[in-house]
Amino acid sequence: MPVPWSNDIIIRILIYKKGQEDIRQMITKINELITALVNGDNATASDLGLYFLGMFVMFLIGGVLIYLAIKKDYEPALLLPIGFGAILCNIPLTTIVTGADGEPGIFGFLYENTIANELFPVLIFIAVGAMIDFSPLFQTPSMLFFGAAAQFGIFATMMAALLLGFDLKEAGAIGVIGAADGPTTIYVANAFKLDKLIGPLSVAAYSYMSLVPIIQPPVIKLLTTKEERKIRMNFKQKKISKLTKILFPIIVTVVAGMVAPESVALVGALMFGNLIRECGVLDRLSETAQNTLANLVTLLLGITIGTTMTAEAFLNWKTLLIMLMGLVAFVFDTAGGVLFAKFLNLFRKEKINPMVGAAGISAFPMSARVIQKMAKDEDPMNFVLMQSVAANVSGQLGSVVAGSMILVLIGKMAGL
Amino acid sequence: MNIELLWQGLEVTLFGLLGVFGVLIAFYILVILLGKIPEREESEAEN
Repeated sequence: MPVPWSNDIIIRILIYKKGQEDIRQMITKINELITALVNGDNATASDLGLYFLGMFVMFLIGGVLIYLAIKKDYEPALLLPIGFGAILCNIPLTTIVTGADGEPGIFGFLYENTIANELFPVLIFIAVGAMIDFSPLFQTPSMLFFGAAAQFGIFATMMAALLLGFDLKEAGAIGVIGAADGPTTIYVANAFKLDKLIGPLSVAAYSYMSLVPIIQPPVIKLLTTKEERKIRMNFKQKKISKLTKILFPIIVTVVAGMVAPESVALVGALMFGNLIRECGVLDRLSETAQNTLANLVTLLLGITIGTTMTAEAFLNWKTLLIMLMGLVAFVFDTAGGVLFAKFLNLFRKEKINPMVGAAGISAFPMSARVIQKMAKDEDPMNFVLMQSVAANVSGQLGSVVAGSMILVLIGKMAGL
Repeated sequence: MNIELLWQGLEVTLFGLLGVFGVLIAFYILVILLGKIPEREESEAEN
């Protein structure tokens, strides 16, 4: 039985105004749903109902992300724009991603020209580099090894993703969530052309980064004894010369670039940002990179990624598994750092507080703060902040290097 | 389950971890060496 008010006039008016085939399809779908409901055709109605349900679920997910950003303060600079973007792109008949005649809409254009070509992740790295002070690393150089050990989660998660049926490129990109470093995650996913996974990967990376204070403590407690958590570490403050601080970013870029040329964009941008911070003659540029550039790119990065989260691309088993794998990555990262510290303690006279190993992830400076708080909870006079910050800064380097390794090795295997 | 894929994954894991440790050991040596530059050289250079 045809539905009387599903007339052609409304369709014609809308098509006249928008000139888009999508509109016809959408209205046809609504008509089909109503007709199926009226005629008692349950199978068709449930198929079409799921189609519309997807949109509402995405509105809900967008709302949850906005709620977490505002109410819980979970990475609000990223999760709020991502959440709003998720709502925007799921509004029926919207042309923000794909406009009339299949041309990119405004956010489609932004995606193609800022994320797909890896511009934004690289710009963010300049800002991050300008924010990092590598001095603590020079005070306790041995903390660098935790920046390597805590990348274990990347590779362990990649293996877990392979076991779950993801292909090598997808598994590699999922593992990089464990870098605890949003731009690296986006950069690698882009390099592997995983357009449809960028939304879930970014949401997982940024969500878990903000959940570091919740994820790390139980894992650390599980792997350490009370006595180990009470270990005090000596710290000798020494002054670092300006020449050292200037040479460091330049030489690191050259060394990393020679080992893994694919890392030059990321390491180079990070170290360029650090160089303008440390050179002492570009204070205005350094300040711009730390504030204006970081804010502007973050603003557009978040909402542009959010607009890739259409119901069709986001609501599937892969997204759920990616969210789960993200958690696994952070747990393995933490465990890798802690266990490596315990391993080193077998050979050291002066013991390391194994909790410091967990700060080897790239979530800076949150992880270092978590470790200091845990140390203080066990012993109010225990100060491991400087060592934790050094491990945390090393994690920034380690995560970029690990992301580059994934790019190089999987890229070669996949013939990219 | 694709065994070949798992082998590739193990290969990436092995070489990836070796690569990360290798690069960070190089950075460690670099940090030690650069850390030896005395601060007074800087003040001398400034003068």
